[in-house]
Amino acid sequence: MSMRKHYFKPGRDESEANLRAKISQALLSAQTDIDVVEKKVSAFERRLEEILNRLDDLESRLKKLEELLE
Amino acid sequence: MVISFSIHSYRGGTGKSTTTANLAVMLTLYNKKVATVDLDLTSPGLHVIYQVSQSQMKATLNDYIYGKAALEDVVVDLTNQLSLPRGKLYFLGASMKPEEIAKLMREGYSERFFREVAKQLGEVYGVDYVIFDTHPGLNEDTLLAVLSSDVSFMLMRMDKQDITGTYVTAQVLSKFNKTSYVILNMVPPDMANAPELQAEVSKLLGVPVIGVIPFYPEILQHRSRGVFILRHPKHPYTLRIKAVVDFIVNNIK
Repeated sequence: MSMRKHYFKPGRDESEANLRAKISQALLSAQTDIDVVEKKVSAFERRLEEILNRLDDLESRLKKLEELLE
Repeated sequence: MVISFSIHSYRGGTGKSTTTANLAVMLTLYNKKVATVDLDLTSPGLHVIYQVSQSQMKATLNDYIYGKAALEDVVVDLTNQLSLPRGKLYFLGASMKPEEIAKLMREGYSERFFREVAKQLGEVYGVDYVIFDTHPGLNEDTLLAVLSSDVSFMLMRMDKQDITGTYVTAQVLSKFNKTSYVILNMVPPDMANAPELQAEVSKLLGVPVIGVIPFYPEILQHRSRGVFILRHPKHPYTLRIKAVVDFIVNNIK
């Protein structure tokens, strides 16, 4: 390890101001689509529910099969 | 070359700090040098998991950000303290003082900080990875942290609020062409076993899911007692963390 200590020099430059402006813009435009987002998430939740139901069904069938085999 | 990651989530309580600490330790077991930076400035918690006392920290991240302290005074080497058999683990902790937290929240930090701290950690300590444990939510400073790191990991719980928030976050990040991955955390065990889960979430978010970690109550109970995977190397949680680290080491270069 070198003996010289490493400091950070505080301060902001122009490119950062641009990035912050772009972030604000991206956040604003994302918020306007929230209805669409909620519809997509609800559809996803329904699909997930179907998958879980299918798994439950499969599990109960397996259990019955095991009981029959015993 | 140093690779920087941000660990981010839309909601608080998704296990960011726990995941950060466990991923970092697992990376050291791959003989990697890792620095973890606690950027959850309003509620720093990594030091609790690492069991670092305030007296071990000569200076805080806040001091470094304001140019008042050198990197060398902020970095705590945890390699021996955690008895890591290989690799190196460093920790950079945030201030717990309310006035310093408030000052940083009010003024924000600069984009250069992320580049500079990663560069200096590479130069001085030869680290392979820098992991930023960020503040949750979709605010400008947190997004600055995410966008300033090389790769973003979004942690998500499987509840509607978090799914919606993560979807929006993924949309925002896609506007910046950010390389992002999702890790599903605290997933109800029945759901975690669904083979389609990973693909369905990836399809919804448009972001690859690289890990599915079920909910284990023992992880929560263990939180203030150290890094879980070190105490429980054969626990299923440890194997899930290993799978994520396998992905990182093999795919993110």
